[in-house]
Amino acid sequence: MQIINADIVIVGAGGAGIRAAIEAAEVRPDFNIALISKVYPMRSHTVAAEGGAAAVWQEADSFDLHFHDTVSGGDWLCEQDVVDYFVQNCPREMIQLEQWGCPWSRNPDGSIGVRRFGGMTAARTWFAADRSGFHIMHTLFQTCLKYPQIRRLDEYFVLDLLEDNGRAAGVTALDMMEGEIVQVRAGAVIFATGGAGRLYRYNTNAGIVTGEGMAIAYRHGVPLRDMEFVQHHPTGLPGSGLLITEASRGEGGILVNKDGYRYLQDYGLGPETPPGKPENKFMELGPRDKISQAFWHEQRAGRTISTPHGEVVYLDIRHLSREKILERLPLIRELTMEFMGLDPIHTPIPVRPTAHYTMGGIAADAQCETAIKGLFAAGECSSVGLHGANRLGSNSLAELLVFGRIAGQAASERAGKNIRFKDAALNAQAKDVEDWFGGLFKRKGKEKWAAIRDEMGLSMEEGCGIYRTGEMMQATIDKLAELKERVKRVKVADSGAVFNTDVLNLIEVSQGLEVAETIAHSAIQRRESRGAHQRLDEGCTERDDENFLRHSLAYYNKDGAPRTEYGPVKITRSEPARRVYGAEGASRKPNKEKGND
Amino acid sequence: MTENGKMTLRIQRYNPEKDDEPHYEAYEIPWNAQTTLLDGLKYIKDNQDPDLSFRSSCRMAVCGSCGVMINGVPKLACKAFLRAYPLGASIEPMANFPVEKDLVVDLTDFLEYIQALKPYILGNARKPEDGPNRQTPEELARYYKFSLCINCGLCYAACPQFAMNAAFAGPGAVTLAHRYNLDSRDQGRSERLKLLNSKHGVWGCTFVGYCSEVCPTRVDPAAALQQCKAQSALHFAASVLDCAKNKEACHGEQT
Amino acid sequence: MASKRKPYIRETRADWWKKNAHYRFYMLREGTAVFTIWVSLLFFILLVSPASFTRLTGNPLVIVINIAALAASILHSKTWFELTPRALTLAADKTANLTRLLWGAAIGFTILVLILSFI
Repeated sequence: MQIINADIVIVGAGGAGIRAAIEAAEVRPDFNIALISKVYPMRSHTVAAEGGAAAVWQEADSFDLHFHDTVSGGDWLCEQDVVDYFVQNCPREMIQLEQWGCPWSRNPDGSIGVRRFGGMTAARTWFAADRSGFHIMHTLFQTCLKYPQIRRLDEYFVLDLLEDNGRAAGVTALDMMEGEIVQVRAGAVIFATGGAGRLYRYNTNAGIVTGEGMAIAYRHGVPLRDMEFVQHHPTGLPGSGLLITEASRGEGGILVNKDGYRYLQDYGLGPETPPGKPENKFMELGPRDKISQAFWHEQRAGRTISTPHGEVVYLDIRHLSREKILERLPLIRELTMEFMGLDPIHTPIPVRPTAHYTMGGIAADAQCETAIKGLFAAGECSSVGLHGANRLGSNSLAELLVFGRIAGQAASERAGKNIRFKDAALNAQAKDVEDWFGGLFKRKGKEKWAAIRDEMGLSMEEGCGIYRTGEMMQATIDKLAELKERVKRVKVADSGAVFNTDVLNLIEVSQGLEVAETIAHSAIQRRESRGAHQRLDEGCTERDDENFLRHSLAYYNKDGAPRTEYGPVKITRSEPARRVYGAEGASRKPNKEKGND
Repeated sequence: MTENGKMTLRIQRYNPEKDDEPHYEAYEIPWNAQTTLLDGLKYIKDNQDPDLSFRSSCRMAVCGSCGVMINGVPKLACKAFLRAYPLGASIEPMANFPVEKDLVVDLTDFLEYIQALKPYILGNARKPEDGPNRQTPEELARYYKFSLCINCGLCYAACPQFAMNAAFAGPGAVTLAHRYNLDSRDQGRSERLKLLNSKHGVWGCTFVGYCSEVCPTRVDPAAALQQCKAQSALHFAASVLDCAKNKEACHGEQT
Repeated sequence: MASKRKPYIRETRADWWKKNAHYRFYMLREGTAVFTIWVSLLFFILLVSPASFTRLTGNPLVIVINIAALAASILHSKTWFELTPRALTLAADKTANLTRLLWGAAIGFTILVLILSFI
């Protein structure tokens, strides 16, 4: 078996992974950095983000406001010290990206322009038209080409973590083109493997967002934290689930039901703001959880529009000028024209909520380090405690940068030079992986991973969607247990070594089932409603700070369902209060808080 | 969505461990007005032939994974609607790249060419503490179009010069280099022009222009190549003049 | 262990340009160069022996070739005028204007030459 030696190995070459790689290369130019990705880096899902990245920029804005928006947006389940660090470091990262060449949209005088986003008190979203993630991704990828010490292992699929004496020692990965398993050894490992949106049938995510990174850490004993909080983005295209950016509302788009009524005013987000003149934290600029929940109620009340792809409401941007749409939302126009066959300049866009983002993930501290020494996690796969129970739009692109950088720094410190691992121990683990991988081809049965994937997606949507009940979640839990058995009987049809996506899809689905289980079990045990976790069953419809102002921690249990524990939430200066938006929110300003700064 | 019926896709298959050369297999798939070729390929993989290999990810024409030839034309599978091919279509891997398996090609050269032409900001010592560079919307517009390249490789599949000479840096890599050459924040133009002016640089292009026609984000790589040619000619002339004036300054520079 | 890979390289045949309309038009565009040689030849004859030139240009076959050469040069101008603006670093909205400007200049110049040759 080939052994590749590095000082740091980074798994995942999306925004967080590459940011970490560049940082490590900057702070330790003598280090060899292995950057592993199952796709070419620029295919990573960061590329599909549209709206932009948050960083306080305008005179009238402040770190304090960004802090409070994030903490209240997360329904107080955020680590407040982490949020503080985050908001203070966002501007630096945006500027850094600018200096690496990111084509941020500009004001006429050449300064940076910012736009409004949901749940944010001030305009603070840096954007590059509506291709912000695309430009961030390509800027990072192109910049990382500058460093010869970053060795890219493109199209290597990570199978497992290597550990030596309780310490991360590298990974085993499949070279997809050769069909060979290699060991990549390093003194520190960073997981930046993205979310798990593909566990749901309707989702905005790319096909690769299947959650293996989370599953690998989980199987090694690292808890997955706050997994029950899955964000449903309010505006996906029906059928495909493709994302229509929140920026279309930030620029002034409105949501109407089948009567042409702006229903959000009935859900604590009013009063109505004039179309095209959005106000922060009012109406369409409320947080995503509330807006998706409002859709659910409208659908229940029969006020949505039936289409062959299910129920929808309309996102209307017609009142924005043609010029503005072409300048600020060109991709949205192209997507709706291509995939829906309509031009949003003339016709409202049919939209519906769709699974978008996993707030939870691999539990990591403020330095991105996990329970395993030397294993770090950054970006969507991680839970550093930033997003709490609901993420605000444009905080995740900022997270990639801020925490990608931290992970790069912290891993550089942890790695040290010339760490010696016990050869035999690592070889034995790698051999186990090789045997397990070989075993997949010998399985017998009539099951198909595609069918299991589809049944999982449907079940997750039913049981762990926008609103949940104990009964529905239990049904999903039972279904997942059944699927976990059935997936063992999938026969791999492709016996080849070269670019065998059949076996890789099977691995993705198997690992996805593990992650789905943590979502469903964490959800059923959280007997309250908070942020993106909303329950309809008796006694669970309200937030319950007394019992559940706690992070859930799902631990792997070899013999069955995950074991759920709870951990404290770090509260520094924002005491939990009722989350309010619209007029009520405006009258509450400024937030009550302990101390001041 | 109502089903429009069935159509037949003829897909080029190649298994390096079994075949000496590619062959075609026909698959009957259901389709409607919203079905993309990528949906069709996934349908085949899910229901008929799990061992069919192709790349895909975002399904919204921004990640650049799923380039293929449809009836000989380079396209992204996720952006090609089957409604345009009611009589069926023939699907091949992207032209001009080595075929590894089925629709999967080897893009290693392309990635190396991108890296070789230094597509990143050079010679700007500004630090985050100094704040962002100023760049007017006009300065941004000068290069913005070229920054929309998604690295899908369709332009290479469209380029007969790359087909005949795989060492030609090609449309995509040159476009990215040019994007930085035009960026007001960058000082690396002469460094890049030296590379662009070299044996495998811009002069391999004869302005066939098909690359721009197939580009899914309308980047116009052919234009980038011509602009690069003009710039590198001027740069070369200037460096020759400099040499004539000052022999000391340029030893080893001229090639 | 030996690699299981065996990349298949598709050969580019000499008739690659027949594969699609874009390539065929490209060959046609490049082919217009042949007529440039022809016209240069005519000018050379004019210089060396004006009498032969007059005799030659009266030949029906030569007239046909000249008409073809005119068509070719118009085609070449058309492609040239459309491609030139793209080769300059211009904002998109200025590209169309420049093409129009080039056409204007070419037609104006042709008319001028025609007028001059008839007076």
